[in-house]
Amino acid sequence: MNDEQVQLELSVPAKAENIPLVRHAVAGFLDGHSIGGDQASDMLLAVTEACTNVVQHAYRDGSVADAEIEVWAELTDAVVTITVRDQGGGFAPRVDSPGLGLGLPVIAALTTTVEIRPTPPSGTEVVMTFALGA
Amino acid sequence: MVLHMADANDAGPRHPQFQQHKVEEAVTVLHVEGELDIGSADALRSALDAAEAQGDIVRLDARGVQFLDSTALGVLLASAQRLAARGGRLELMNASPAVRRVLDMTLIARTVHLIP
Repeated sequence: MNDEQVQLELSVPAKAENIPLVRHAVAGFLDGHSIGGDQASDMLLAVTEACTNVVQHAYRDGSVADAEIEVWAELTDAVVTITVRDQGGGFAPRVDSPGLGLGLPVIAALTTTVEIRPTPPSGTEVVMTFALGA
Repeated sequence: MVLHMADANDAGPRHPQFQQHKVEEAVTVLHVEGELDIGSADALRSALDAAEAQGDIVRLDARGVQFLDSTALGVLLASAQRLAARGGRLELMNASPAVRRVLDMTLIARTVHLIP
């Protein structure tokens, strides 16, 4: 089976109420590949946490007019890769964080690999991989 | 497949539903249905606040909870701590395996009382 061409690309305004839309879109992508159960649950939780980070942290300074969350998902060689990208101000410590600070630890626990890197000139991307059957 | 979506609207996932009733003098059951994340955290917080006002034991029936993330966990944890501070507790019943897994992963199962 050649899955290299199969991918999901999604862009939504970076608002809390849009995160379920992202989650459902990714769920549809996974369902289309017969990926369900705990593995799908893990991926949906991880992408939710990554998108929540964007909403809570990425655009705090308000300098980006059209703040968006961009999400890619692809399946290649039995590995699902989900990337969440923003064009915001990057990761920075936040003493007034409204959350528990569990987002990144949860992502780390759920993924096979995770990379968090800046995307010059602005923004951050979180690249998460999930090895199927692992 | 490329999607560009506008804001969430009526076509999006439905909002969570909350319904509470008392089963004993000190026990209020809060039935929750839907997906609990940052988008529904305020609604969950309000529902728990209302249930806490009814008594010292809040039993959240999670049978209808299809999804729960760390933001929602934070809301549950805050409620559990408020109740514990006055001698009460937050109980969670009918949690799906997926919800239990999140609770276990984050060790919040130590603070929220799980009921089989």
